[in-house]
Amino acid sequence: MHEDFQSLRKKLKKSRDGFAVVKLALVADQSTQFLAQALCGYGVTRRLDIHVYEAPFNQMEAEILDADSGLYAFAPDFVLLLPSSENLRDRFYRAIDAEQAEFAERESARLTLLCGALRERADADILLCNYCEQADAVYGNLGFVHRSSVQYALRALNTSLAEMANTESKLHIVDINGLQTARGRDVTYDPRLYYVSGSVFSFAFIPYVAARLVALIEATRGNIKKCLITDLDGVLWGGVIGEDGMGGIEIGELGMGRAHSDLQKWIKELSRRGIAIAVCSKNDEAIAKEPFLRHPDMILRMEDIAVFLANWEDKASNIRRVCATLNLTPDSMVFIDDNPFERELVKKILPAVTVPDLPEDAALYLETLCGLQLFETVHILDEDRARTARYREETSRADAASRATDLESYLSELKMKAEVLPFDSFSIPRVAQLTQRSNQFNLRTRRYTEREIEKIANDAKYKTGAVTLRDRFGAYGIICVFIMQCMPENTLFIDTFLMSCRVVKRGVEEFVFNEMVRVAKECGCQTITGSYLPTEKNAPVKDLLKNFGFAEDGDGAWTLEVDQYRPRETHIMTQNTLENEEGTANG
Amino acid sequence: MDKYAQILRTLEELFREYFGDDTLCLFPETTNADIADWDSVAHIQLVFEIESRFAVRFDAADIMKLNHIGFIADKLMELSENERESFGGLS
Repeated sequence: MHEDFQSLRKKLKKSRDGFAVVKLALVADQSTQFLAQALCGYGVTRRLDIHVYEAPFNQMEAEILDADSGLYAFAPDFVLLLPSSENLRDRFYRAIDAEQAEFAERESARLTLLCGALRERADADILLCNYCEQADAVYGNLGFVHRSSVQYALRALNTSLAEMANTESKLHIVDINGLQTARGRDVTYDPRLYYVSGSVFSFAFIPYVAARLVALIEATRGNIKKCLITDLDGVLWGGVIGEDGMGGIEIGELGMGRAHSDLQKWIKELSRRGIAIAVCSKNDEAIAKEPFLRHPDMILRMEDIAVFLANWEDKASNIRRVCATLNLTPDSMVFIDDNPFERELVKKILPAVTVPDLPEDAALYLETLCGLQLFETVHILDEDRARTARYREETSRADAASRATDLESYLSELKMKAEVLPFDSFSIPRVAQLTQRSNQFNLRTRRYTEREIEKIANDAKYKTGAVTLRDRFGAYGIICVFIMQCMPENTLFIDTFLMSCRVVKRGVEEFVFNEMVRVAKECGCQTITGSYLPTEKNAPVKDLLKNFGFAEDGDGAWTLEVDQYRPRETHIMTQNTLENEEGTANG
Repeated sequence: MDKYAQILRTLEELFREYFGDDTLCLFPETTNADIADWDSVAHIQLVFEIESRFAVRFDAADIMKLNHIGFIADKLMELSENERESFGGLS
């Protein structure tokens, strides 16, 4: 399933031209040289140029607490902390009785201290590996219960790591323990390798650890899966609905039905998490929809499906339509199909789509998909959980749009309201997420971490806004962000202007440019300058500045005289204005 | 070709592949001192590669001593003899 260690090692010689550079520091109490090779090799697979700094062996405190250490000189983007259960066990055995009972608390306090010091001294995301839980057989089954067993300490410690990560947005846990449980300790640990080299991971296991780490790094950089596209016959149920009919398809108690039902339950759970579910099936549409509407054993229903495509076109074209409808890019798509022909077709035509090779036996689908760990993410915002509902609203909006003969009258009927929020504890996570993820409607594609956004929020040099939108179909949350920087000579520079693709063509950009000009006037600026930094994806905003009356003065710099700006008409009402007026009336 | 020569040839293939050097030649008297890139990190990887190629397991105590091709080949001969005996015992 994964590339083995040697093939990862061979990739180290490959060219990494054009790959994004990621600076990763490894701080461990175990040997990391093999892991470092595998990480760099797997980075090549994922088109990342990973530069690794290996802190001296077992010097976690010295490296992290000393501001002059090699770690900080390296200026990492990511710091991987690898405390091993082997090292912990060694210290646990040397501890006196009273210390053993509270070992987990002490160790947790130690890690909290180290993470706190790291956060202060490095502007990096922290990737903290949890402990591989193991029984040392000193207490037999009682080891699970007894507070002075190393087994109990490891489990308690892992629980406290989860709590640490829940309160710290730049701290991400790498679930090595979960990986160990899945692969089995006989596979993940080779005592011979440990005693000759100090590596607590076997060569068979290292590629899995590397893959999991790189997936987490990618998720932190905003590269995540957002949509699962599924085939119907042979995947969501056994048999062929067009031939076997409603009574013949295998679902629920019929035949291998439970395997298909369990897969549906899992997909439903993904949908609850915010993954959009789309159907893509070669079928007659009415027949394909029938089980969703009327079969008593179906778990997934029409309301769980963001886009339903049942037709006789090729699957690659249909997947393109799903992308267009949901405004998502192919690299955020996972496509599952039991037919190898369809899978290969999609792999060939849309190589960015992730297409897992399903086994032939339907009983193995779910285990296979779970083992692939396709849906990595670093945190779940309420925004994400509400996403499926929003995708459905999107579809009803699309329906309304096709009915509306005139775009203007359609927009006026939407009853849109926008609000400009300051960057505060409520908006900062979403603002940072948008800077990480928005590609198409993003003028300069500046990626910011939460911490960087916080700094901007507290810096008077910046004029910022996070814009929310709602309409009669529902609320979108924060969908647009601008960051303007005060420059000499009463000038504001547009450092960031980005918009979620979901609100394109609604007049949001007009609304926000009006607002940016208002802000400029308010702070006595006469000029707004900006630039467009082209990427592979942001062609849609190529002419944005021009369209708002900015004049190009060469070298890609655009300038707008605030007095010359003609406010644009929109169908969006301001929430702020409404509230301010009410406030004044009441006061 | 006798078994010992066969082992040497397979080792040579494996070393060539590992070091990415098609001109590398192994003799029973070759040691880690003769191959510049055969350092301690490469050594451990090589030994574990040899294990999976020949489907054998070395004792931890022997792993660091396997820096001499003749010694590796002897060990592999010995392990395959043991294997034959244990199969003989089973049948």
